[in-house]
Amino acid sequence: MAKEIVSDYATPLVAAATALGLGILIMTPIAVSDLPSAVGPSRRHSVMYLFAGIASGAAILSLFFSLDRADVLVVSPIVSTSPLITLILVRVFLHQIERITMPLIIGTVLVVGGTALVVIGDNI
Amino acid sequence: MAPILLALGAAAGFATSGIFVRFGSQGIKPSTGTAISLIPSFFLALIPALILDLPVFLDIPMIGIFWIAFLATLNFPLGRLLNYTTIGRIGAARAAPLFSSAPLFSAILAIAVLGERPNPVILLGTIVVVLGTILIVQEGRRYRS
Repeated sequence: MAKEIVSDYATPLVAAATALGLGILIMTPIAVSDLPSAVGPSRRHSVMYLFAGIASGAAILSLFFSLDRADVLVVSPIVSTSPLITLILVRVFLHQIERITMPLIIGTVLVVGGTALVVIGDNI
Repeated sequence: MAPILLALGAAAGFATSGIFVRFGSQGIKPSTGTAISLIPSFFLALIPALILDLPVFLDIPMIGIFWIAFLATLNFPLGRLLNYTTIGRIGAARAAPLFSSAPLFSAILAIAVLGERPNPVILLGTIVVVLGTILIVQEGRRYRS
């Protein structure tokens, strides 16, 4: 669907910006009940979500510019390694609240590899 | 080299986002966190879009806005909210591979709705993703018990 929208009505950046803006309008009524807590006692956790938004926004931009310069067959398998990077970051920053086990590592490698195969298969 | 570095940057960005969500989920509901996270993402997309594609912005037809609104509804109240909720419940390490299997569902929809025929590579990839998912889900059950 995103492909159709981008080819027929807007560029990827414009579609992303419009969708994100509309997303804020849609989510605000759902989120409003917890807002007092978000700006008060849980302010620190709100900042974490702001950083999450910055990171994912930067990721979307990087993805856009990389797809602009290279084929999806090159870009998608690289981007799909994100869960492996997550494992490393969890080991470094979240080791006190999340445990990395061997089945989890193997399962992640399988999902990443399988996803790469699906993307490659879809583009050949 | 630049596209590969940018792609790696995208992968790192998505991974880092999950870590921040894990920290944030310990104090705020995922719905509120989703709304908060959309604000910086919106400005990060808006600024280059205005700089590079302003004429396109001003010229989106109503039907295009309708389809983008539909896409936004799928992505944010559903997609990002479910992703953040999952991270809060099972952790970033277990949620990330499940979320990254999205291309598999695109392929399944393309086969079911658009009538595309799967090739052996897609079939093999599907089997591998399913095996990996089963392993992660089973591991998650043992981990929680």
